Amino acid sequence: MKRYLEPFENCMEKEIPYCVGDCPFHIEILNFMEKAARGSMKAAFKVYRNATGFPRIANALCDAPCQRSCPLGEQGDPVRLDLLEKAALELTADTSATDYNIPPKKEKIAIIGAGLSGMAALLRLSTKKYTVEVFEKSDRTGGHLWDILDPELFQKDFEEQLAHQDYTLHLNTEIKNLSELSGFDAVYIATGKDGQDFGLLEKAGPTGDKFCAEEQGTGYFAGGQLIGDTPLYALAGGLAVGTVIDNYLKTKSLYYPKGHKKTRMCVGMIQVKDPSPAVSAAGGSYTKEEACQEAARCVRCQCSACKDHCDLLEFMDKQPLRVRDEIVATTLEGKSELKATPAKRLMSMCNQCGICKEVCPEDIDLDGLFLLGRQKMHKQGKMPWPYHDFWLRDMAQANSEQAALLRAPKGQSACGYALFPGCQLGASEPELIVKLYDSLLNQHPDTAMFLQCCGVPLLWAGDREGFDAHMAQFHQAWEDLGQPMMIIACPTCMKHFKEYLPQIPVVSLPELLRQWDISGGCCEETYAVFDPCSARDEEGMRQAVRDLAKDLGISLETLPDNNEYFTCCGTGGHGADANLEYAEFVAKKRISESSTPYITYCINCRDTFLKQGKEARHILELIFGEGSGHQHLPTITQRQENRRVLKETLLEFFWEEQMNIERKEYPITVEISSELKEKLDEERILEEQILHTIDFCQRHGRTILDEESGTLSGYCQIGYMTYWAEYKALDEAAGKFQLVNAYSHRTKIELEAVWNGIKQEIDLQ
Amino acid sequence: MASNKRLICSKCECELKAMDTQFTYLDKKFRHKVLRCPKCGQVFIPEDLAKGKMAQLEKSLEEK
Repeated sequence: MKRYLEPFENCMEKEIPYCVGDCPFHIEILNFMEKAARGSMKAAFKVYRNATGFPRIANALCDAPCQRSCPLGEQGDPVRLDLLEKAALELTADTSATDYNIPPKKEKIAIIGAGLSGMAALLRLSTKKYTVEVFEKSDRTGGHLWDILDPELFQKDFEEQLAHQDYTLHLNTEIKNLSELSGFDAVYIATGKDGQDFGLLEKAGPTGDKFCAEEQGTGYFAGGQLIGDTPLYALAGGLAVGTVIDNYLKTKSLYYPKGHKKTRMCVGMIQVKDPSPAVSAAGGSYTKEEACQEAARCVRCQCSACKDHCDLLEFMDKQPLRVRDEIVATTLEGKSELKATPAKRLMSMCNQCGICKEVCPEDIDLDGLFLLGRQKMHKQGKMPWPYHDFWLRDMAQANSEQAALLRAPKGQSACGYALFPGCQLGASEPELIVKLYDSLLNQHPDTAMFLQCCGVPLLWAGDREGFDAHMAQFHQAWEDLGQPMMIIACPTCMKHFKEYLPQIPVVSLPELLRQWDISGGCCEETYAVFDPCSARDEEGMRQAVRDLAKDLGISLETLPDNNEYFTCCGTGGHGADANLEYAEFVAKKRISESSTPYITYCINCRDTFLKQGKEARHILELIFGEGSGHQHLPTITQRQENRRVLKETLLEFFWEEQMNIERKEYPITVEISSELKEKLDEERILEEQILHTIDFCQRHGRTILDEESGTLSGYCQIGYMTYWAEYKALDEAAGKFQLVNAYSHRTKIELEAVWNGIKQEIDLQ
Repeated sequence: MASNKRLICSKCECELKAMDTQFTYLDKKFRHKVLRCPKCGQVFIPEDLAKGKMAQLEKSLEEK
C-alpha cells in the first residue's frame, strides 16, 4: 500500500495558490476571497489583519507582487487584490485588535530596534504573552517608516494592534553590547539598515540557517532591513520571527528559514478562458458591491486535475486526500464494530479507467489504490460480495463447459494464432464471432479458438489470488495450444494480458484485421469513434479502428473529450452494482458528448450506450454486416444462452461435432411475460434463478398465499442474494406456473426458527 | 401492506403476523418486525420493503 500512498505526499490538492507563493505574508487567500465574495468585509479584514499584523502599513507598502502570478493576468486583468485589501480595511468600521485570554509565559525576549520589523516581532511575541522588552536608541517607534509613510497611519496601526499587549519600551536606550541583555532567553536584532549587527550577519545556525546564533542558552536572531529586507519584507520577516523565536523557546532549535515559500503548482496548470476585466474602482476605492464582484472573479487556483477528469470524484464531490484517508480507514484491519469503513461502496464504484493517474501532475495512482483497497478487503473477508457476485457468477458461466471453448482447428495441434474474443462479445453478438473466426481461418488456418473470460471480474472483485490462479491456468492453456500469437478482440482483456501475462504475445483484433486485409462492405455514414478507457495505451488499436472505418467509407467525427482522455463508458471496474446511479451518470455524460452515432470496439461500451438509447455499433458489426444489438439487446438470461449456442455452433461449423450442452433441468416450467423478462434483466435476476426459487418453494412447501389474488410467494437464497418470486399455479400437478413478480435483496434472512423470542440462536446450535 | 389482504402460510395455514426477525448483512446483525407465520416462522418480505427500507439499510451499511 505504501507504494500507492507515498505519492500522495506530493498531492497538490491543498497547495497554496500562485499569489500566496508570491505574497510576503502568505495570506490565506482562499479564505479571504470567500469572505470578500460574499460581502463579509469585516471577516475578510480579519484574515488580512492576521496575515499582515499591521494592516494599514502593509496596505500602504505593498506593491501587489501577487498580481504578477495571477493566471487571470495572462489574458486580461489579474485580480486586484491590492484594492480588495484596501476595501476590507476601509469598509471595516472596527479595526481594533482582538484580545486573547492566554496565560503569560515566563520566558523573556529582548528586541533591539523599534522599527517596523521590531514592532512586528513585538506584536507576534507579546500576543503569545511572552515578556517582551524593546530597546530603541531614538525617541520614537517606527524607524525608517518616518521617511516613507504618513506617521499618523503607522502610529495608529501600532497603537491599535498593540492595544491589548503588555510590553516594556525603552526609548533613548542604545544597546552597544549584547552582554547588556543578560537574563533574556531570546534576542531579536532589528537595528535597521546599516545598524549594529553584533556580529550576527556572519553567523549561522547548526543547520545552516543564517543570521542566528545561540550563546550561553540565549538565542540571537537578526532581521528586517539590517539583513537587507525591503520595508515590506521587514514587516513580514518580523512577524515570521515571532514564530521562529516561539519555536526556539519551545524546542531550543535554531530553525530560521529565510527562503520564500513558493507554490509547487506549475505555470499553466490553471487555465482561464476569457476572463472578465477587473472591476474598476469608480471612487479610487472599491465599494462593497464592487469588492464582491472583483472577489468573485478570483478562480481560487487549486490543483483539480483529477477532479476535473475523474467521474467518481465529480459524482461523489470528494477530494483525493479525503478519498485516500477513507480507503486507509476502511482497509485497516480490525472489527467493523470498532472502526468505520466509509469507503466500502466508494472503492467498488471506481471504473478502474486510470484517468486519475494520467492527468495527475504527481502521478498519483488513485485507481491503483482503489484496486488495492478492494484486495485488502477481500483478504480480510470483508468485501461487500453482492457488488461482484453477479459478475463472478457470469464469469463462472463463461468459463464453464457450457460456454468455454479452447481448441486448435480441426486436424491441427500447434497453432500460430489464437482468437480470444472475450466473454461478453459472444454473449451480445454470437454470430459475429462465427463470422470473424471463419474469416481468420481463411487467412491463417492455424488459428485456434480461445473462448473464455480473461478473469478481470476476479481482479476487480479484489480476489488477487483467484485472478493469479486464473492467469496460471490461462498460461497453461496457451502453452498447450503451441504458444500461439493471441488475437485479442476486447481492449480490456488486452490491457490485462499485457500487464499480467507479458510473456504471451498479443495483437489487437483491429490491427490484425488491417494486417490481414480483412474488410467488409460499404457504409457511407458518419460516426464518431468512442475509444474505450482500456485503449489508452493502444495507439495502434485506436488507429486501426479508424482505418477500418474509413476503408468502409465511413466519415468520422472526433469526440474531443473521449478521444483525448479515453474516458470510461461506466462499465469498467463493475461499479454499477455498487451504485447504478453513478454508472448511469457516467454513461449519460459520455453520450452527451456528441449526437453522432458512436463506433465502439469494446462490446461493453456498445451495450452501455444502446441501453441509454444512444445509437452505437461495434466495429465488427460494420465490417461483417451482422449484429442485432441495436434492434434488441439480449437479457442477461439470453446472454448466457447465447454463449451456449455459440459454443454449439462453433463446434458444429468448424469441428463438425454435435454437442448438445446440457441445460439445467427443472421439474417445473414457468411462464414469464416479456415485461417481467425486462424487469428481471434490469435487476440482474436470471430466469434460471426464478425457476430455482419456485422449484425450491414448491418442493419444501415454503410459500405464502395471498388470499385476495390467489398468488403464492416464496424466496430462496442463492449465493449472496435472496430472490423472491410471486407466482400463480397454472397446473400444479403438471408443474406449470406463471411468474407474477420477482425481486431480490442483499440482506440475509437469518434463522427463521429464531423468532418471537421463544427460541434463541443458541437453542439451534 | 396497506390493504387488508390476508397472507396465509401455505404450510401451517395461519395468517401472517408482524414479528421480530433476525437479519444479517455485511457481518452486521439486526432485528426488525416483518410478517411471518406465527407457527413455523416463515418470513414474507414484500417488494416495497425489499426495495425501500431494506435497500436503504443495505446502502447505509455499505457506507458505514
